[in-house]
Amino acid sequence: MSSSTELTEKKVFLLKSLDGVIFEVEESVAVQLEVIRELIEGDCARPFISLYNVTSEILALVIEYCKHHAETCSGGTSATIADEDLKTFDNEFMNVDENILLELCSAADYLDIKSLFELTCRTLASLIKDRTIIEVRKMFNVENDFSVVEEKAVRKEFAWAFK
Amino acid sequence: MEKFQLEISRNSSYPTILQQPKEIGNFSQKPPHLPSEIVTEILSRLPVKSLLKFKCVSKAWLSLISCPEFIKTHLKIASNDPNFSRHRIMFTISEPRFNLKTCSLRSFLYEPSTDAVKIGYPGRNPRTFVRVVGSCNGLICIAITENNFILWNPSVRKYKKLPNVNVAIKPRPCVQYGFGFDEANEDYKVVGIFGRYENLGRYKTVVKVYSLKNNSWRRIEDFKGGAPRDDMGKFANGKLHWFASPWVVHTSSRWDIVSLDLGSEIYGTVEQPNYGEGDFFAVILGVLGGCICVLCNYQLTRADVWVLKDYGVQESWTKVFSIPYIDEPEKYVSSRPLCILLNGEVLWALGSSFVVYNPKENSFRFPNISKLNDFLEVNTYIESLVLPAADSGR
Repeated sequence: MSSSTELTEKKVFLLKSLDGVIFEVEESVAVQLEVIRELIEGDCARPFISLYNVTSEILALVIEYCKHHAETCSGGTSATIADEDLKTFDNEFMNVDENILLELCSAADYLDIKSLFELTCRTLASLIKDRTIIEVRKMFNVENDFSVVEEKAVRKEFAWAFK
Repeated sequence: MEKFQLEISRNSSYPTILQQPKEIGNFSQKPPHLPSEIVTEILSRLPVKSLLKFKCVSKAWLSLISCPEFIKTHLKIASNDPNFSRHRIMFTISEPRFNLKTCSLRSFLYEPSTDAVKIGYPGRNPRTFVRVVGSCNGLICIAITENNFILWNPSVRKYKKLPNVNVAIKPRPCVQYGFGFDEANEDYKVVGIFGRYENLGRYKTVVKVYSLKNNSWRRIEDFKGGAPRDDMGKFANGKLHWFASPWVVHTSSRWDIVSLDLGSEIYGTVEQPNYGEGDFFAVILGVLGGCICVLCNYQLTRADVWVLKDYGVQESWTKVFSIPYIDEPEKYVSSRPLCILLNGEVLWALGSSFVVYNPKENSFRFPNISKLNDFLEVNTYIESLVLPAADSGR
């Protein structure tokens, strides 16, 4: 294929979110989603792909993330500058409401975007590490199924960890 | 959640109009429910202290955080962290009293100044000697007196006192130790080499191995390779390693690297690198990034660090650094590289001080640590949930 056709015919994909919004993305961005890359490699990728489990708000963020990473990696900048740039971008990108972070983490798992999954997991971990038990239960929708006596016993073993 | 629940349009022509949102969800109000695999992934990136606290969240969280699989995953993530966020340094102090101090490796490397803090250890007695035999997967083996060992995870504050090891060698033997993990049997092992010189400079040994699974000491084949020189064996690739001088100690300047496989309990030797020309002295054994390394001092000029990148392949010995001397040569006799940083710098213990050497720029920096005077030895360890108990997983 000559370079002129490559320039004029960039392959695009249409991604449809759970709530029916369609996003047009270039192949370089789409392949960052491992699920789509596998489809392309298996030659069964159609240009129109519906993504269940991801709302338009989250898909927009995911695409923004993938776009930035694709552009930074393919740009002519040196590896160290690209690394720094991605670090800054990632930090700012993670500066969102924590429920969105949870959604992003779940979407990154579903769409199989390893770097975003790692980033969201790490961010969530550092967000909760100093939280109280009650705050963590609320955040993860976990019901306390310990009796008062049971909880006390578990707490007693590592009482120092609560200080 | 079905991972590959994708719908692929059978129609390959593009829709011409991008649809507008039907309705914006209000999911940001209430936390979404995460599948347990994702919760596990998030938790496995938490520090140990937070995890111990979060055992109280629910019964499911308690059993998750206590299960061997999770402990393994958590350990793996902690070990692979390139910034050493879950690594700590432990200093053994002998003056004025015996003591142990620790600090975070990450803040030591990257913060302007770090405090070394005293850590209470089991069996502590300021007048009694304490040595760190080694650390592996977050467990530390300490020796309090010569035959009193303790396996200890300082991050969870749990320990196990080992049964005393009795060796009938008179007069009092020299002792070398080692500590590591036997992956094949998922067992932690402590090795004691008790020896003394006999006539003609022959070194006679009795070697005992402690298995955590069996909670007992057992005698194995005597040490093969003469007299071990290193106090503490260096653990890498499932084997402990000592520099040893074959048989007649005073007439030989040759040192071999002798290994002991903790799984098979068979001795071996590791071929050394070609140190090249020059008047070298004080060859020191260590572990760097999970590989066996040797530091070779060239009189008054420099120290070379060799790493055995592919265990068992002599050609894979690679000279990773050549560090010019910047201090009195005597200090180099006990110097050793501790870790390689992401940017290629190397942290290097030099006597009772530290330097970070940048081989690309041939420059040095000196990380600042307060509340620490001279120390006897230095070790690194990982913060893990591994328990010093037979059924704790690794």
